[in-house]
Amino acid sequence: MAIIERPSSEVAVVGGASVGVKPSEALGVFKRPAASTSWRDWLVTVDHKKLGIMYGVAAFFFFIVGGVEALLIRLQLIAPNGKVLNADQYNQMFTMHATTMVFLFVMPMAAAFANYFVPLQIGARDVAFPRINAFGFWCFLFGGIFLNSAWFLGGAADGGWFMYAPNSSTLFSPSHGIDFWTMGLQITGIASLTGAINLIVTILNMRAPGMKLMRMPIFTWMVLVVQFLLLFAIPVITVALFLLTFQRSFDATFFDVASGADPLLWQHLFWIFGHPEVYILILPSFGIVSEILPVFSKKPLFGYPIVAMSGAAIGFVGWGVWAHHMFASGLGPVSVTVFSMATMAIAVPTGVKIVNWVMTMWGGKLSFTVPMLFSIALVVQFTIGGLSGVTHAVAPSDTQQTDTYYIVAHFHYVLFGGAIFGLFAGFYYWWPKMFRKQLSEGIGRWNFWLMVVGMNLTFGPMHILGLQGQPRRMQVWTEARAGEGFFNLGFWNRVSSIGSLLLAVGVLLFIINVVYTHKSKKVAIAPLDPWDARTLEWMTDSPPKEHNFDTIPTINNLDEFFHRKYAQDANTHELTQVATAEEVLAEMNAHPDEHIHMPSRSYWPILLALALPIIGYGLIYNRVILAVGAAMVVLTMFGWSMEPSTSPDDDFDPPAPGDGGGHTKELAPLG
Amino acid sequence: MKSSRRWSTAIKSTLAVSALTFLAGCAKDAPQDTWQPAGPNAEKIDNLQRPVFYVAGIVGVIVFAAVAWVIFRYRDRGQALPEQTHGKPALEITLTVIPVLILIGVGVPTVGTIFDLAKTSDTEMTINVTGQQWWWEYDYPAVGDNADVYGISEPIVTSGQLVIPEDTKVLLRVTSRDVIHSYWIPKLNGKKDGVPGRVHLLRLEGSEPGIYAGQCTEFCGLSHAYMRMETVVLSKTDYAAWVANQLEPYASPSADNALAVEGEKLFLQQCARCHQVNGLLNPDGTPNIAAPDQYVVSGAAPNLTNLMTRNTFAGASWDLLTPECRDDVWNASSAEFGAKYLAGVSEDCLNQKDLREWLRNAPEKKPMYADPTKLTETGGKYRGMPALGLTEDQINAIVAYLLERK
Amino acid sequence: MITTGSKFLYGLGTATTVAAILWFIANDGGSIGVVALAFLAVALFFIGAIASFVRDGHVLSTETEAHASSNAAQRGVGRSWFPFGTAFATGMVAVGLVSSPGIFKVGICLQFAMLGEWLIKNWSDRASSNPAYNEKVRSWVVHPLEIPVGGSLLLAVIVLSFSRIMLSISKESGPIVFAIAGALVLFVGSMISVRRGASRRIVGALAGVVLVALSGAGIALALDGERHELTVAAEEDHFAHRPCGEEAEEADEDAGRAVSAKSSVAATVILRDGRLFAEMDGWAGELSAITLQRSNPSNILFINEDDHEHRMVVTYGMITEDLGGGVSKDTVLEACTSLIGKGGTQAVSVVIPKPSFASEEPYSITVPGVEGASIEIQVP
Repeated sequence: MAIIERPSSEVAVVGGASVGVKPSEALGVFKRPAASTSWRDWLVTVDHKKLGIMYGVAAFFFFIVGGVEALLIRLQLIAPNGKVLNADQYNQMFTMHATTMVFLFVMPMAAAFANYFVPLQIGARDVAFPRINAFGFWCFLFGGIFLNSAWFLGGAADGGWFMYAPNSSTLFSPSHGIDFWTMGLQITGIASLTGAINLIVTILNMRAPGMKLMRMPIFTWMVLVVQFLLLFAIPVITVALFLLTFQRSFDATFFDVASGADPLLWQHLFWIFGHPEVYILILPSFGIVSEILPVFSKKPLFGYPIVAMSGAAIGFVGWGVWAHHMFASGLGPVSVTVFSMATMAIAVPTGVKIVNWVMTMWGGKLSFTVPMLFSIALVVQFTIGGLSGVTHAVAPSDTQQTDTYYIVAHFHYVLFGGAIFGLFAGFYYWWPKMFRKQLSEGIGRWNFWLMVVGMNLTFGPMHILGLQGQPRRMQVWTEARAGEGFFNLGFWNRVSSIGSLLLAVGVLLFIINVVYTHKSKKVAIAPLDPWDARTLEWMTDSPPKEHNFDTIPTINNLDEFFHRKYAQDANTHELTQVATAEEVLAEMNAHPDEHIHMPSRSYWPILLALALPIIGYGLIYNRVILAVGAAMVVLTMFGWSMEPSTSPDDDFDPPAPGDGGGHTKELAPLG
Repeated sequence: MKSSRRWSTAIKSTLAVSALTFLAGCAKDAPQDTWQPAGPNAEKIDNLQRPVFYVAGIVGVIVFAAVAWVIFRYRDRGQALPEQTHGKPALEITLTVIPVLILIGVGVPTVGTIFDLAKTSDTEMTINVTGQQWWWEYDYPAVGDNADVYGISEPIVTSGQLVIPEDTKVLLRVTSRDVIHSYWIPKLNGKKDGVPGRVHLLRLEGSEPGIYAGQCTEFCGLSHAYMRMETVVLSKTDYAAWVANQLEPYASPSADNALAVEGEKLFLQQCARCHQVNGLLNPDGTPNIAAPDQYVVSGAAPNLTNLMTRNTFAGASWDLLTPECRDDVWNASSAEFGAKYLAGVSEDCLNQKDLREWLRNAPEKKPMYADPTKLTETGGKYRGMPALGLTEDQINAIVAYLLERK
Repeated sequence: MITTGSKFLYGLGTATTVAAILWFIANDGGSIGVVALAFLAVALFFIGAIASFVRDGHVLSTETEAHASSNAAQRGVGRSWFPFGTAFATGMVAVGLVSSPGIFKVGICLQFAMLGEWLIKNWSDRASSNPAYNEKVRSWVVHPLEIPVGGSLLLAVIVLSFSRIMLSISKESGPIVFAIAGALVLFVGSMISVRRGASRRIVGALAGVVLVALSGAGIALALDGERHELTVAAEEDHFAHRPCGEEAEEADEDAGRAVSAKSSVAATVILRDGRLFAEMDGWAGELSAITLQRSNPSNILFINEDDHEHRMVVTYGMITEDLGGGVSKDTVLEACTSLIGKGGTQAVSVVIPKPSFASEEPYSITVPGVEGASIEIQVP
C-alpha cells in the first residue's frame, strides 16, 4: 500500500554487525500500542471500520440527547401556557436541539457510513490518512461532549442554532453557553475538515484498479460531493465563529452596531455555510437510498450519470442560494430576486433525483424489506419537503412563511423524513455487513411504521400551524391567538406533540431491535450476501477483515459484484445467476495479495484531540488552563510527527512461515 | 383487477382524507392566518402563493400516484429478473425539462410581485417602527404629508398598537434598538426584520377597519414569545379623531379624584424615570423628561401619555380590556368598530387582574432580565421592567392615575 | 522511562506547581505571579519530557556493545559553534536588558534555540558509532521543530520585506510591482518545474540572491519611511475621542471605502451647490428636517458633492455631569465625519439619548464653512 512508508530500521555499523538500535524503540517514551482485543484497542485504533462504528455509536447517543430535547419542546407546547420549561430553558432547548441534531447526529452519522463503507466500496484497505481519521473522530466526540457540558456549567447556548448577532453578544446572552457553543463547534469543525480532506484523497487516489469515477458506487459519489461541500463550507463557519469568539471573549466589535457594524455580516457568513450545510446533511442519505432502491428493485440505478451529476450540480448551485434564508432581512428587491430564482433552479436537480428513484423501481422486481421501506418513505417525504421548499423559494410567499412553523415542517420533512430516514435505511441495509447479524425484519416493520406515522403526525400539522401564523421559537402559545373551532391551533399543537411521542417509541423500537438481534440466540448469523447486493462492500467477509480484501479486485463494471454473480445469456439475453456470493469470494481469495501493510495504532490522535477542549475551558474560565492545553497540543503534535505510520513490530510482511499459505495476519476480530 | 380497485380506492380515500384535513385545518378564524389577506399587499402575496400551492399539490399527487403505482405493480410476484437498463435519455430529458418549465411559470410572476411589494413611490404616510426587547414603539413624525394631510402637528409616540387610516398606503421604516426583531402583521403584509443600524421599509395598507394581530418573528431573546403587536385600521374620520386625541395637552388629575392625584405623585417617583408622559411636570414645575437611556439597555420605555387609548400593554402581550369588552371591540362590525375603539379603556372594562399583576411584579409575569443582582454584563441596566415593590395602596393609586391617560 | 535528569526537572516542575498553587491561595488569585509560575512549571515539565524522551542524552545502558563502540566513547566532539552562539545570545540578552526590550526578547529566543540544538546535537552524537545514523537521529528529533520554525522565519522575512516595499512605493506603481513580482514567481516556478534537470545549486543560488535583494530593499525602504499619505494617516488616531474639527486638516481622499453600511441608512445628507439637504426613505424629495428615533443607533451618510473639502457635524444637545460640590460640567453632544473631498462619502453613527423637547437648542446637522447649511433633527 502506498499509504505507508516503512522507516529504515536496520542500522549498518562499522564492521558490518547490526547494532540493533531500532528508531521506534530508541526514541519512544511510550511503547506504541499493539493489536489487542481489549476495549483499549478502540482508543488507539486507526481502522476505518472501527472508527466508523464509533462515529455511529457516538452520533446515535447524541441523537437520543437531541431527541429528548425535542420531546421536552413538544411537551412544553402540548398545552397553552406550558409550564414544563421556563423561557430561558426553552431557548436553550431549541438551540441545542438543532445544534445537536445537525452537528452531532446527522453529520457524524453520515461520516460513520462514509468512513465504514467508502473504502470498502472503492476496494481500498483503509483511508488515506488513518491517524488523521482517528483524530477527526476524537475531535468530534470531545467537541460534542464539550458543547453539551455547558448544560452542567450554567446553561447551554440560548441564541438559536443560527446565533444571529447582536443577540449572541455577552450583553444579550451573559451566560457562558454561547462560548461553549462557538468553541465546541470549532472543535467538531476540525473533525469535519480533516475528514473531508481524508475522504477526498481516499476517493480520488485509492480506488481499485479499473474503478473509473463513473463506475463508482453512487453512495461514494454523494460522499465525495459532500466532502467538497464541507471543505469549502467549514472554513466559512470557522471564520464566523472566530469573529464571535473575539467579540465575546476579547471585546471585539464585529457585530457592535453602535461602533458602525452591520449585523447582517453574521447572517451572510452563517448562511453561506448554512445552506451548503443542508446539502451536507441530505446528500449522504440520497446516496444510501440510491444504493438500496436498485438492490431491492433488482435493477441498476436509473440514469446513474444523471443522479451523480445532479448531486454535483446541487453541490455547486448550493453555494448560490444562501440568502433565501434572509428574504425578510431587508436585502432589497434585486438581491431577493436573484436568490429567489437560484433557489428555484436548485429544485431541478433535486427533482431529477426523485424522478430517477421512481424510474429505478419502475419495471423492477420489488421486495419490501425494511431498508426498502425506509427508502420509499424517504422518496415520498422528501418530495413533500421539496415541494414546500418551492413554495418559499417564491420570495413574497416566503415573507409570510419564514420563521413560522411552516418552515419547521418543511425542513423536518427534508431532514427527518429525508436525511434521517435515509440513515435508518442504511442501518438496516448494512447491519449484517457490519455486525454479521441481520436486524429483525418483524420489529423493523413496527419500527418503520411507527416512525412514519409519528413523523407525519408530528411535522404534518406544523404546515397548518405555520400557515395559520404560529411563529417558531415561541416558548408558549395562548388560547387567545389559537383561533376558534375544534381544529384550531391548539388542536394541531396537541396532535404534533402526540405524534412526537409516537416517533420516540419508533426510535426506541430500533434500539430494542438492536438489543434483541444481538442478545437473542434465535437470530442466526446472516448469510454473506443477504440482500443480493450489487456493490463492492459485499464482496468480502462480514464483517470485513482489518485489511478489508485479501485481494484488491479489478473493476470492469458499475455494480461489479452483481456482474460477477449474474451474466446475460448470449442467445436468450436472459439474466441468470452464474455464481453465488460465496463462490465469488472464494474465487477472489484464491490468490491473495502479498505484502499487505496496514497502518499501526497510535495514542497521539486521541491525546491531541483531548487537548482541544482543554483549551476551550481555558478560554472560558482561566488562561492557565489554556496554557496547559496549548502545551499539550505542542507536545502531542511533536510526538505524532515523530511517530512513523507503521511500527516495525506490527507488520504483515514477510508472511509468517508455515502458515498454510496464509499471507495475512488476522488481527482482532470486529463485531 | 380486484386488488387494483382496492388500491385505487385506498389512494382516493387517502387523498380525500388529506384534502379534508387540510381544509378543516384552514377553515377557521386564526388571528394570524396567512391565507386571509385584509389589505392589498397581503392580497398580492396571496394571489401569488395560492397557484404555487396548487401546482405543488398537483406535482405531489402525481409523484405519490407514481410511487403507489410502482409499489403495487412491480412488487415481487416471482417475475423474472428485470432488464438491467441504465436509463432512457429521452425520458430523462423530458422529465428534467418539465420541472424547468413549471418553475419558469412560477418565477415570472414572483419577480413581478417582489418589485411591486418593494415600491415606495406611492407612499401616503410614513411611520417609524422601532423594536426593542420586548415591545414595539411607533412614532409618527410631524413632517411632510403626516403633518399636512393627516394633522400630525406634533410627533406622536405610541407602542403596542399601530393605528393607521383605512385605504392609505403607509410605509413603515422598521429598525431596532438592540437585537434583530421582525415586524409581521400576516393579514396586511409579509414580515420584515428590524435590524439595528439599518432602516428597512415595509408597506402596510388595510382595506377594512379592525384590529390585526401579529407577532415578532425573529428570535429576540428571553421573552420572544411575549413580543406581540397589533395594527388598528380606522376609517379616515375616526383616524382624524384619534390623532386629535393623541395631541390633546396633558391634564393633571382633578382634585376630587384623590386617588389619581396620589397616583400622579407616585408615577413621578416610580415610573417617570423611564416612562415618558408628555406634559407631566416635576414638582418644581419643569417638564418631566424620562431617562430610560440611564436605566434600560435599549434606552427606551413605552410612552404612556395615552396608555388607555390602546387596548394592550407590556408589548401587546396582555389586553387592557376585560375579555368581554375585548370581544366587543374585536368582533364589532366595520361601521361600529371606530367608535368602540376610540372609546378607549373605561374603568369597567379595565383588565384589572393582569395590569395589577404586572405592576406588582413585572418580571414574574413576563420573563425579563430585571434581577438587579445579575446585571454585571449590562453595567447595571435592565432589559425589561424591574419589580418596583409597590404596595397594594400604591398600585390602586397608579391604576387610578393611568385610567385617566386617554 | 524516567531518567535521572528528567526526575530532577519533574521534581522542579512539581515544586513550581505547588508554589503556583500556594501563590494563588496566598494572593487571593493574584494572577501575574500564578501565570508566571504556571508557565515555568509547564516549561519544566516540557524540558523534563524532552529529557525523558532522549534519555538524558545517553545511549541505552543495556546496550553495552554500543557503549564500547559509540563515538562518545572514542573521540571528542570536535569543532562546535554552539558555545560561540550561546555566548552571543547571552550577550544580546545583556545588551537588551540595558537598551531595548526587542533585543532582549530576540536574545532570549536565540539562547533557547542554541541550548536546545546543543542538547540534541550532543545527545545524537552519542546515539551510535555511526555518524550518518547519528545525523539521521538528530534530524528525526529536531526537524519537526526546526523546519516549521525556520520556514516561518523565512516567510516572515519575505512578508515583512515585501510589505515594507509595498508600503513605501507610490500607490500608482504598487499594483504594477505586485503584478510583475507575481508573474516572475509564476514564471520561474514553472521554469523550474519544467526543467527538472536544473541544478539544485543554481536554483538555490538564485533563490538566495532574490532573498538578499528582497530583504535588502525591504530594510532600505523601511528606513526611508512609508509613503506620505500613510505617514499622515498613522499620525491621526482614528479612535481617539476629541471635539469635531480638531484632527489633522487633511481630507480623506477615499472616504467612501471606509463605509460598510451604505445601504439602509437612517438618512443620507448631501452637500450640493452650497445647499445642504437630506434624503430619507419614505419621504420624497429633498428634506430640510429629519426625524430620528431616540436612543437608537442611527447611521447618517454624508456625501460631499461640493468642490471644497468639508465635514458634517451632528449636534444633539448637551449632557450635564454633576461633579459634586455644586460644580457641574457641560459636554456638548456632537459627532462628525472626517474631512472629505469632492465625491467622498462618510458615515457617522449617532445615538441620541434625549428627545428634542429636552433641549433648548434644536438638534441639527451642519457643515462648518457653508453659510446657512443646516438640517433640523427632530427626536420625538
